[in-house]
Amino acid sequence: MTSIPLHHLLTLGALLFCIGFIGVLTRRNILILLMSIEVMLNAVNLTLLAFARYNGATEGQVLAFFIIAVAAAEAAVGLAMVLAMFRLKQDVHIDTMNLLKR
Amino acid sequence: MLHDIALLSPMIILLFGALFTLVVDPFLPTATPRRFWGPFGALISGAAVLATAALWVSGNHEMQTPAFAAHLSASRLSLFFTALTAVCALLTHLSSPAFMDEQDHGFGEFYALLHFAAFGMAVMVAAESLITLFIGLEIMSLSVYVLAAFKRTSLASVEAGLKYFIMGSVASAMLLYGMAFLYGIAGGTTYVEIQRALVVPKPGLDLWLGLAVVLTMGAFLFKVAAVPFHMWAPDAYEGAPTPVAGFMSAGVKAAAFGALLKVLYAALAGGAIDSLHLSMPKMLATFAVVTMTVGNIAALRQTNAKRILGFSAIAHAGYLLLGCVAWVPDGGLGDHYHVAGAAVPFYLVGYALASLAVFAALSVVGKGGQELTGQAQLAGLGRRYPLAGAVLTLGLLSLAGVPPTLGFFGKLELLHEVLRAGDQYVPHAVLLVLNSVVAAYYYLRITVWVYMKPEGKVEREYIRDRSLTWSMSLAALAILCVGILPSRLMRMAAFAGGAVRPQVARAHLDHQLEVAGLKPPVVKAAATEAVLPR
Repeated sequence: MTSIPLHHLLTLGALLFCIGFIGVLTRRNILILLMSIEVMLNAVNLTLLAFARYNGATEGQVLAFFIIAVAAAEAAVGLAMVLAMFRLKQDVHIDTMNLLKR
Repeated sequence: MLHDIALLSPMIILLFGALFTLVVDPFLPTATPRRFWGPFGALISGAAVLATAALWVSGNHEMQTPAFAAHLSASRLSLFFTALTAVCALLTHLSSPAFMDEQDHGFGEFYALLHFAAFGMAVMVAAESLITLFIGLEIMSLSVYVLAAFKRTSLASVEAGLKYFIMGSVASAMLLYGMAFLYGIAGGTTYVEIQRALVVPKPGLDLWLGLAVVLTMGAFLFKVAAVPFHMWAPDAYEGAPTPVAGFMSAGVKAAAFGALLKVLYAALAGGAIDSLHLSMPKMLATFAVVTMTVGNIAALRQTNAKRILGFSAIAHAGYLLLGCVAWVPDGGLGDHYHVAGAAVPFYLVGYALASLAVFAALSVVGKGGQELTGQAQLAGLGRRYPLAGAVLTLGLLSLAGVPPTLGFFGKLELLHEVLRAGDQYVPHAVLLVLNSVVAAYYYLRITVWVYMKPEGKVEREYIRDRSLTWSMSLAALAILCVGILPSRLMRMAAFAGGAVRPQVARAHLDHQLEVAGLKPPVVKAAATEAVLPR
């Protein structure tokens, strides 16, 4: 079985990370922001796994597992705050978050 | 294994506090006021401080060895910062019960989250590998996001938490991406492995290493609220409940700088970093100067005390960042044992105590769900509640760096260290002094509100509470007493600062042995006691 070369995996990871980052910068709906952040985290996971296979060491995979767990906790906290915000003003767009002045 | 657990006792105590609060609280009747969790939390945090002190006193070579397969350590640096963050948690536990009850949000979870945040900070500063650093950082951050948004019926609080959360999550993703590249380059996640991999320049990997450094440092700049990632800070401080804002400015900053020092000098140091095209010290020093200037100038035209302190936190991040950079002159290896490295830990103690005192004193105006801390709310505080007025003034003077407070000696030592680091930092030092002068204006302006502004007709009510009084008095006493007799703390800070350097030297030595064809001694991450200033 021919294996996928390292730089293919890294390129895919970089592309995913950029997609997520651009999503965070351009989108205004907080739920989509949360999804973009998940894409960034999964890009990191992919990169870590690629390096773990390349290095023949397992620490990268361990870190990836922790990232998955933390991403779940982060989503829970984020959604809870979005819910609290929606209850207060029936809106989840960040461009309307202007109570605290710049 | 038993030895490992002894080394981690401060963290275990904090985690026990969190879990105990979380498990017992639901079984209490709903009507029971939850403010007793505050003093309980203070006891737990105090126990963690004592455990840290015991580890510090019993410190020998064996005790300095890392625990859990070189992923955590109890070096003097870790212990110093663990104690500092536990003290921050202690004072916050004392100052928050009355305030949170007045705001109708005195739930048990609040105190559990404070414990979790302190636990995360302790893990973060004790981390010796990227994995533990990340876990500690996330435990701390997730708890603090929730704490900032804790008053969930207030739009300001939720907005503050959400802004902090979104920016923080992006910063975490950046940090992780940087970590992934570091792992790829080093083939391991512990700081020692990374350091070993970076001893010699790696021409082919410059691009990747540069990317890793930029991403990692960017994330740290966010956590300490430095330019260009500072805009969340004033919003988060203004919207968060006042005692939480104090905890954020003191504890989070202390933990972030503790971890940053370790990453800078125990992991990202060596020939490979020095040979990069972008000079990391120069870049960070520039960011530091811009940070302090932006923070101070933006603070000048604010009208809310909490928001002013948010910008002041940015300015202090700038001073501290400069201290971190100037710690070791460029090219960090070898013969720099004479640099004590005491300034940053020492300054952080002064800064943390002062901001805890200031925010505790500001929280007295939160009677009946009141959230604002402007001139109208603070006018007359000095006459009607002398203790709060005095503590507020003392804390502000310490932040401004006026003798005989702790803040003065912190700034003095910081300036001394920056100048000692080399001639290239003289312009930075001059800007630091100028910035301190500008900063005095807005600190004194709050004092003027408190003592000299007309009070208005309505007799204002303040929160008067025993544990809040304790919190204010303890912080103020510490600022004054340590400010008058700073030498003992200074020596401890020098021990803490000295703990990183032997590690750097050891990686260098190992490499030389390897080049000479000798087998390097098997040492996994060791921050041992070495040559220390007496």
